Amino acid sequence: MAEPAIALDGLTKYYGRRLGVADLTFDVQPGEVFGFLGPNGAGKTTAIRMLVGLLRIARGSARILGQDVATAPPALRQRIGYLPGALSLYRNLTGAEHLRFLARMRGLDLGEQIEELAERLDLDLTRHVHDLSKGNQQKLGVVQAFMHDPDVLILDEPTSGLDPIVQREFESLVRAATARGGTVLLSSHVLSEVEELADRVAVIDRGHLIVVERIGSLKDRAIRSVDLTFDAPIDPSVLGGTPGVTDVVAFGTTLSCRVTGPETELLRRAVECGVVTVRTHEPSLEEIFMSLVRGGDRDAAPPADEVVA
Amino acid sequence: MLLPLLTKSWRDRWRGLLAWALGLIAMASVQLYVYPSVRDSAEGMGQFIDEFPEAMQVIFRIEDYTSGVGFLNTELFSMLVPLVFIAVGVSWGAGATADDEERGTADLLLTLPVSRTRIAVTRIIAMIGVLIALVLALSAALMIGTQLVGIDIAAGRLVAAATVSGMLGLCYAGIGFLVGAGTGRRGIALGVAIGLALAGFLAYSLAPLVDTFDAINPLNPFQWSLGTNALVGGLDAGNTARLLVLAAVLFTVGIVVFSRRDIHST
Repeated sequence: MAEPAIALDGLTKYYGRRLGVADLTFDVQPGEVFGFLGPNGAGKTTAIRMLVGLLRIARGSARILGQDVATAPPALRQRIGYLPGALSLYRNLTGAEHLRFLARMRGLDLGEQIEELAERLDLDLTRHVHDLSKGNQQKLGVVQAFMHDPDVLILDEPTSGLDPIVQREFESLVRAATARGGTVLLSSHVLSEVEELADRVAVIDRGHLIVVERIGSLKDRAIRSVDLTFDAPIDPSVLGGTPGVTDVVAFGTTLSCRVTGPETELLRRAVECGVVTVRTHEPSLEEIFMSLVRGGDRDAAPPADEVVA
Repeated sequence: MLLPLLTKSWRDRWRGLLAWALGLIAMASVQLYVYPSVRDSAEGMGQFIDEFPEAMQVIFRIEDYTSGVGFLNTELFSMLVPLVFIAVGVSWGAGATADDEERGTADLLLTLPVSRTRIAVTRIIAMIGVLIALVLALSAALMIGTQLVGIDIAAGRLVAAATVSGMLGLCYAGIGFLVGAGTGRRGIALGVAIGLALAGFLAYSLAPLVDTFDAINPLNPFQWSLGTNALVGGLDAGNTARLLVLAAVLFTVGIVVFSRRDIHST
């Protein structure tokens, strides 16, 4: 496999004695959109600020495009686009002045790119920042992150304040960036925001990495509850020993159970016993996420979607 | 140095800069405007001054008030002009990096492909430029004014006196910069620098009366600047060097601290 675009190895940060993040280790591959998830205060921003050089790394290391961010020259950041989580702009400048300033600080003239991006996001560059709504300021933040066509995009809660139409445009910008070989690290406290874009996600909670996984397998891991209704009262022991099945309870002609992984064996046995209907309560991704960050508390998130098989 | 940041630094605060320049010019103009009447009432003025308690004359360095040089020293260079330069220096120094941190714009500025050192150096150059501009504005006003009211003094001496005040301002700007760069807090930096400036001024003023202050006076930047009487003697090499070295040390330490610090989100 090619060298990872972003590689965290035991990344650790304390604020005084308070833990920021502990021992984060994961790789983001070139061309990948990687979701970085966790509730507010989990340490996402701390980790990201170490990646872009705002915070020093206490222990462990972070490499971007093969270079250790602790020792890399500032020129490395020419290849990085960064959208801060709490975006603050120079309020006395117009959008055009602001972006031109940042471009010139990079030693670049990005007039065309700025125009094109502003048009795509429907951002009026002639207005002063202090006259722009939160959402329009966020668009300006998106433009400055993308305008120099960076190899690595590090976006901290990028879609906060963006309306759905602009979010679609943002998603197409991210896809275009990865189509050109770019890599995107996308943080969010809401899984559904990265669901459309991300190939894989890392979930952190209270500074600790909980899981790194493909979104698809995250769904497979989820615990579903299944109700099987038979034509006659039935003994729960018929499902005894079925792989992935737990908590079997009988209510008259119905058996309820919890299932992880494939349902093949469960359904085969159910059919043998003359099952009439099968109802699967599949949790949303959000509930999977919540159950992960709450330490897998099964009862924390009741199933929302009911799928009738 | 980063030209876009340099021009932005000036552009962002040009109104304040203009106000300070006009203020200095106005101060010089008003004082010079009243000078002829002070000179012409030399006798009465002399008596008036003599009636001041001696301690007051010493503390406020009241000199031969009726000579042109004495008048300028007493009215402008013993307090007002240095305080303006300190105010400007401290304000620019304290905000040099802390403004961006407090407003949260540091997240964008410090993640650009330039080192924090270059950012800080550019901000310092912008501030030195401001002090130089004010020295020049004041010098020009004084040159024209002294000609108009007939004070016989070499232009070089006027520039020297303004420069000394400017360098004193630079030293306290260095303190403001160092504290601002180390804490990211403009308010703390302002407070510390202004506090130290007032303490330095007080110690310098009371040095003739208080032994302790007299003992530390050789270490007081006010002594290195106002104590040299540049209006009479021009720039003093040793004291100029002391001021510049102190400023250079403060800025250098500030840059080193800043380039290694954690920048927290607002």
